[in-house]
Amino acid sequence: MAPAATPSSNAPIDPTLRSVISLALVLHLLCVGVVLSSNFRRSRLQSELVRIFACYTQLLDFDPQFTPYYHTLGRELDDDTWLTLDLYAKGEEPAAAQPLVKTVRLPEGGSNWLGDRRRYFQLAKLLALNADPELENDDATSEIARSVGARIMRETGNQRCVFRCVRRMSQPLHLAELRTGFPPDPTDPAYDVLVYEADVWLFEGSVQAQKRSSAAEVAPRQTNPPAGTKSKPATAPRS
Amino acid sequence: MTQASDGYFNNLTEAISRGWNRFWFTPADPLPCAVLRIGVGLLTIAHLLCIGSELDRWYGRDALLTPAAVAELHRLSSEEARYHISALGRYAAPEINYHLWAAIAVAAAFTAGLLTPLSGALTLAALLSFVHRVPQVAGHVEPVLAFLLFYLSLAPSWARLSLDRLIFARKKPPPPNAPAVSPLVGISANIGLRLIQVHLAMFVAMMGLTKLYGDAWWEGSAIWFLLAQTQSRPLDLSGIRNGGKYGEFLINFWTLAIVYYELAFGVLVWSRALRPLLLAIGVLVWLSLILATGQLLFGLTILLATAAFFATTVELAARQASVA
Repeated sequence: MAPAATPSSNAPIDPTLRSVISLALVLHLLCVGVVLSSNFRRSRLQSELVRIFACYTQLLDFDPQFTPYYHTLGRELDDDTWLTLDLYAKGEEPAAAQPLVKTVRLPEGGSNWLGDRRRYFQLAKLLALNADPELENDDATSEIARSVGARIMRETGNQRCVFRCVRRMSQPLHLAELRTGFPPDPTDPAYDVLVYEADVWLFEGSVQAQKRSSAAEVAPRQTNPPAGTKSKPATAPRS
Repeated sequence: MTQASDGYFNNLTEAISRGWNRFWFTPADPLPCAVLRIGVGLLTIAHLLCIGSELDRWYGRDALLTPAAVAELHRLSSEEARYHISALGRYAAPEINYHLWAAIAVAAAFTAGLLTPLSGALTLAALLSFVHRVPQVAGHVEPVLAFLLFYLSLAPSWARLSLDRLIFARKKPPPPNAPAVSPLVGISANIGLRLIQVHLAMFVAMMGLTKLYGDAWWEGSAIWFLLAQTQSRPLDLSGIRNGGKYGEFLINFWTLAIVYYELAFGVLVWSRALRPLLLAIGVLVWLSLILATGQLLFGLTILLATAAFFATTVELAARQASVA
């Protein structure tokens, strides 16, 4: 920013070089503009252009895809969601027939300032989205349950787990709007909704998963929000 | 009529061409690019250190989402995912730790301005290897760091405050009466800085536009929904609601200030008169977003990127002062 070092403003540049650079700039900004404008919802034209530009924009991460830069839209899907795993020693016996070894919660510890907990919340929200009754995708939920369950079982030396995805509904701004059954303490278990539950176990070297329930099948009281009506989830956080 | 329209289109073409050349091809001092390089390098190192806390659990061969699970999730979501290329999924601890330390080393070299174009490209490649390994859990900061690293690797960010300059200046002393920076270097610096500005303006506009989809940002309650998250909020600021009507007004103002700022930024930042004001308000807006979301690195990276506009403002003021 030292003015003495600023070069002459009428410095020559070869017109051909300038034209080539200009063309490259236009193409680059076109690609970036298209993928940024397609962050939330996409027309068919945008989807097609995003697909065409992907070799450039996806490779260099210019395309934020569906990263939720809105942070929240006040939907159930935007509420805190986490994973818990009840671990059991033997893979061949059902969970009810053996003692619980340990419960692992993801995330455990970490900082909300530095992103380490965020990755767990993001993964749990992805699972919750795929467990939503209107967008249910059992293949995706069981894939996540198998992969996460296998890792945690390997870390802890166990062979079976009950894998759960839990969402904590947020309180309304005014406590007076709270419905019956929801206490003022926002961490009360009444706010926790079981979104997805599955048994995951190791069998002959492979990982198996069997869904127990999803949000569509749990008790009606638990699926009512603490107050008002929240809009339904509309899009993935980032997938 | 035809002559009149021809004249109009000729004038329009000439005006656009003049404006385009002035915007992109006016030489600029590379110092802002160098300052940005140091800031971006430090933020990249901080980001990599944060990743390192659970490296194998998230990015290793047998991570929470294995490479096979990531590929299957892509297939199930019918997304275009051919270009999520990363070799990280082949390694487990301790090998994957070597990758992280190598990434931090090249990021440090980029920060110091050592072999800057090469170290910048390698830093970008290292950052992308983590993004592409598990795109499902990639965060808000990576797309911003990616474009900053890309542009600063292309721009002559090595021309100031760098080890490259120290080393090569000793070997090749400039001829007497030569300008401090060659015209081509000046033009490259301007293009790099302009690309950061244009990309950032589009990015912030995108952030504002996505907020318009839900009621929460329109009604001024979105910040409350962030503060009400008992697990992910960085600070418990929910006591604001104890302020009654005024607490609600504060939530409304905070929410609307963020969304209006983001919507206005992409347009008003190009006004020389409004730019300083907008940048000053931006500091408050981005810091408040960090408080509400806990996205510390993202907020700091956006703040740093807005410094690209600050540099242009200072340079224009300096030029006007020298002309006067």
